[in-house]
Amino acid sequence: MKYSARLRVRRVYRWLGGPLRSNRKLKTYDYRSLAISVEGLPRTTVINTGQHILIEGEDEDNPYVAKVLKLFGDESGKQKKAVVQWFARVSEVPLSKLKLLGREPHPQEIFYYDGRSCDDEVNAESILRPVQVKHLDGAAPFPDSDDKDTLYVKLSWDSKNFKAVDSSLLDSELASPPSCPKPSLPPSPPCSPPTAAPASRGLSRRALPTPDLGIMRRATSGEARYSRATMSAGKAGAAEAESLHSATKLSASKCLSAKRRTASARTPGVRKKLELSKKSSMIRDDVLCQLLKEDLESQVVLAQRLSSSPPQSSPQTPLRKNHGAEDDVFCLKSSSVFLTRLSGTSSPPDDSSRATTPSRRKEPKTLKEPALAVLAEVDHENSPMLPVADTPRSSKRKSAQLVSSRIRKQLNLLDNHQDLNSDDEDEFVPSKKELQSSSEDDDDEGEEEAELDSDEEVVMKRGRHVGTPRSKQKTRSSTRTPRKTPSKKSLPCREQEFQDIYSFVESKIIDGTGGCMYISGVPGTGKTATVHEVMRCLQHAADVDEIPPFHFIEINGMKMTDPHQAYVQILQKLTGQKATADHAAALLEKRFSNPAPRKETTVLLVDELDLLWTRKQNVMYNLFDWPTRRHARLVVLTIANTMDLPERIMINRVASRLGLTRMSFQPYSFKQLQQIIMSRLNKVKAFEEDALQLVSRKVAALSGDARRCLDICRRATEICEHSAAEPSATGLVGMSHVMEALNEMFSSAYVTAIKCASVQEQLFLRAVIAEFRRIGLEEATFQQVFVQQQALCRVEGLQPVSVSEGLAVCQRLGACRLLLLEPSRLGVLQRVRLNVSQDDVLFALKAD
Amino acid sequence: MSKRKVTDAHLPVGECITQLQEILRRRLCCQQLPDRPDGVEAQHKHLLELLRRTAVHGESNSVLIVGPQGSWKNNAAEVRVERSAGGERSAEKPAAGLLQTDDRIALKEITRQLHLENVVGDKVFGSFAENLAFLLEALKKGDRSSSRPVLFVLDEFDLFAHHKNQTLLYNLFDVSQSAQAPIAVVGITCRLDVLELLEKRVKSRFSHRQIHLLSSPTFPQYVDRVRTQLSLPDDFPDVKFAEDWKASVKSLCEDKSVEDVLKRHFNSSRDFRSMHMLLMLCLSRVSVSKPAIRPADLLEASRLCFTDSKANMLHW
Repeated sequence: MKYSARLRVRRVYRWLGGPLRSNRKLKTYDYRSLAISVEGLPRTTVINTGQHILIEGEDEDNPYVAKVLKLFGDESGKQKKAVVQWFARVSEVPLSKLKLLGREPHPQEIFYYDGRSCDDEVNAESILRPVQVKHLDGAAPFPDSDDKDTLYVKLSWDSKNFKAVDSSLLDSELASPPSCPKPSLPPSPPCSPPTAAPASRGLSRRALPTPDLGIMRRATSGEARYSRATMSAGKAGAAEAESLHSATKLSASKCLSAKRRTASARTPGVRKKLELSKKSSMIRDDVLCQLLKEDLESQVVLAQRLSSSPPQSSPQTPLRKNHGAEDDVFCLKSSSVFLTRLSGTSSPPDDSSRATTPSRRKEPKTLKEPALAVLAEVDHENSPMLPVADTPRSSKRKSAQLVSSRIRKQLNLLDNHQDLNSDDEDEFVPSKKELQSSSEDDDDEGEEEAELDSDEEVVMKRGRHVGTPRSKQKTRSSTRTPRKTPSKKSLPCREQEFQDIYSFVESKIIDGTGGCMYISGVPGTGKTATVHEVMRCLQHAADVDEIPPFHFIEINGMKMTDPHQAYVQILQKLTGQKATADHAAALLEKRFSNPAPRKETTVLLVDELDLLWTRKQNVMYNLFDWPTRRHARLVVLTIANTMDLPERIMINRVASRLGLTRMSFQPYSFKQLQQIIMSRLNKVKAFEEDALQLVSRKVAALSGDARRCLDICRRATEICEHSAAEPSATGLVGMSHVMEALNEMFSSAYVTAIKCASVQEQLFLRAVIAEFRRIGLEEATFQQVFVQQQALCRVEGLQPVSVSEGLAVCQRLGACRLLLLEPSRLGVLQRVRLNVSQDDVLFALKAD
Repeated sequence: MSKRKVTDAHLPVGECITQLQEILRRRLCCQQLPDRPDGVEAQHKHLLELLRRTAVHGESNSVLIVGPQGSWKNNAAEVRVERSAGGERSAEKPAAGLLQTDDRIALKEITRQLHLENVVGDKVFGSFAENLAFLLEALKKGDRSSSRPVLFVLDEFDLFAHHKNQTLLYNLFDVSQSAQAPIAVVGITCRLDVLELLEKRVKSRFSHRQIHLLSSPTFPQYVDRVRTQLSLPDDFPDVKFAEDWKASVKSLCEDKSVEDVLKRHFNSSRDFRSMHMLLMLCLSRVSVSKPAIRPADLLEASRLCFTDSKANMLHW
């Protein structure tokens, strides 16, 4: 791939030959081929429809691979676009999913991309050059060839699974473009009959449509158009709204937008049906009607997109009429294919989601502008799922209900799981393999299970040596309660926050937009745990195809050495490549600001945000600026401790980008703490009621930190365990144990330390106080104190100490921080202060 | 004394003295620990229990050992490590705050001690960030049942708290709070106010277990300690010499003037180090011609210990 040098040179693109046909409504002209010439070189490259091409991407060494389905431009010839079928390179498939392949991927291997959420319309100017793509049979080995420019397709990839790809599909598409005589057409490999790959649903699905090439082509291209239309409706629709205001278009756009509105007004109902009756019968009319509408809209949107050039009323050619008719026809056809698919296969989740997603994609259309949307979000913070624009009321409520019911479902699941045995957890986590990409929590769950098992063993062992059956319970709890695992099955007392975050992130994922959220709260109030729980639920939802798939990335300000390392970590977690901070920042910038195919929403959790502070604040700025980009699809959740962090440390432009979506986690109240302990205890009766009260009240009064609470309980159970040998022990953790634990943790050791100090040290402390009293200040030089000490020695009948010895005593007290000292190089002139209150010292000395 | 002729099993006196000095010097200089903890049994038991849990059950723990200088904090930790980890699968990893002055060096040291340099040998291990990420990854990968518990001993814990952002502490405590590889973090410090040094997030993750090694031995106990420190092991080759030595030590400890000297030392400081210093000075006066510590030696040594260094300089 030695084109990187060529990248620097300017390439000139022009159409070859006249327009094939034009579409007046869209004001587009279709072309057959595109000529690319490099300035200064005589050679030109010709791209024809049906050819495989390389498309400029983020990674310069691995440009995107695609096949041209259609080339078109607007009248002015300024915009050149291409509709393509994407192929995914090995590097574009997430590492975790590559395992599904079951073998080492060939470096030259690519996958037929069959996933959703991919914009298949690209700017023709991003085309680099043609490339050879060969289809290989599933079992055939990769040919040994040094030809770096030949790529091989074996499988298709739908962002979840690999499937065998039907060679006839590829080849027929290759062959189908009529009359494109080009020498550079990749020689199609011997057309082997579709191998019956085991359990490949994709194969059967692909084989289902009639093998008629024409229909095939139209179906696929129709499908492509269709998804493009929805994509652009989602993405472009909002930003293109200003074009509505152009005077020339006004009247036309008015009626169009009215149409659109009715369409979107109707779709929620359709969507409902689609979602509710995923598996059961789907009304053909509805779908058809919807598809027609979609098609109509796509044209509208296309027209809008291309209308940046002044609209001219070009003469309507009969050709175009034909085209329109054809559009309708194959729309019908493709939809019928669609339906047969749906009914033919017994409710594969893939298909149903395919059916539902387009209608979901419509939601962004109701948003006006990203910034506005964010503001609106704030208004509706309690029910962030309410769409903002003027869709009929009922549909809003419906979608809100849908979401809340889904959340309720999740919560119920969680609650149930709290009661169930660890065995049942497997049901909840669908399959660990699939979750690998963000399987942190699931791993934890696995661990938790293992943990429980080993706990049982521990219990057995300890139970034996402690004796009573009751203490057995208690020992179990002592090992279980304290464990602060993020993979809690439930997060009691954080239901509201959970729901808010869940609906925020979910709505962003479904809409394919971006946003920021700021979460604050003192340490140990469950911020990170709640977010992790939300992500786990969302991941689960994504796995069962309730929402589109997404990436979840987590960075922690404390886990990096420098704020700029954030870029490196994000990039590494996103793509797996390593780069220096500057380079990573540039790559991320490119990634988030350029439209790219196959883009999934990225959810980024930034923990300990305040540590990303730099003087110029560019790290924070970028983090909050990316979500506002049109193509970013980035949701940023930030966590920090202080509520007013944005106001305190952020400069205005950063704070404004962070927006006002904030949430603060209040410290737990004693009731909540009690509930948390109870839930951790798993209904094991290990604590006396009063003891629980005491712990939770004490902690709530101090900090409301759940970690502290659990630590105290843990220590209390340990103490209880040790004292279990006494016959009087009830086996439960009682008040006395808790008191002891509290004392241990919260009492300062100063008094004990003074009590344990040697005679001279105690004398010195006494001398310090005497000197303070004498001079009336809280500070004295060593010299002054030393004189006092000599006097005290005489009073006590001890041998007076030398200066060296006195200094040594003083240093020892200083090391314990009973005294605060100046650096010892000052010798006798160093000043001495007490680090403890005088009363404490006197109390400790008197008690002797 | 050379008159006391060596019978068959006896070594020459010179040999005995050499051995005696070797044994005692090792004990006094190398800070060999007393076999059993005095006065702080409960604390030792607590620590032992904690570490045992980590080593055997894979529970993560964090604990601070606080005690004045010379209270055998380190030894306490080491003894426990030896006892608990004896035969167990566990890796120890001490880091000293005075040596590892920042997180970067500390991390390098950790990697070295965990024998992970080999793993990353071919990689360029230049950047601190990579190092940290790698270590966290390594710790994260482990799970409770399979991986080997790692014990982190942070000597001079308070100095680690002065590192920038307390990154190392945060990460260690974070691992210890979550269900990752089982680790035990043991901080050793003499500062009583060490918790106030911790940043609030770090503090929240710390389990707030503190073990205070504060003991106040009485004077008889102190004299007892002196005696045990001077005593010879039972397997000393020359039985006769050992007996003589034992008797001389006994008489030494009962001497009135010696008692005064010791009392003075006891009043000044109760830790082991000053006592060891004193005994060391005495020990160096033991020779073939004088195979026992006499009270005069002790007095002289004590005089040396208590001299005012600056006044001395002027004097000379």
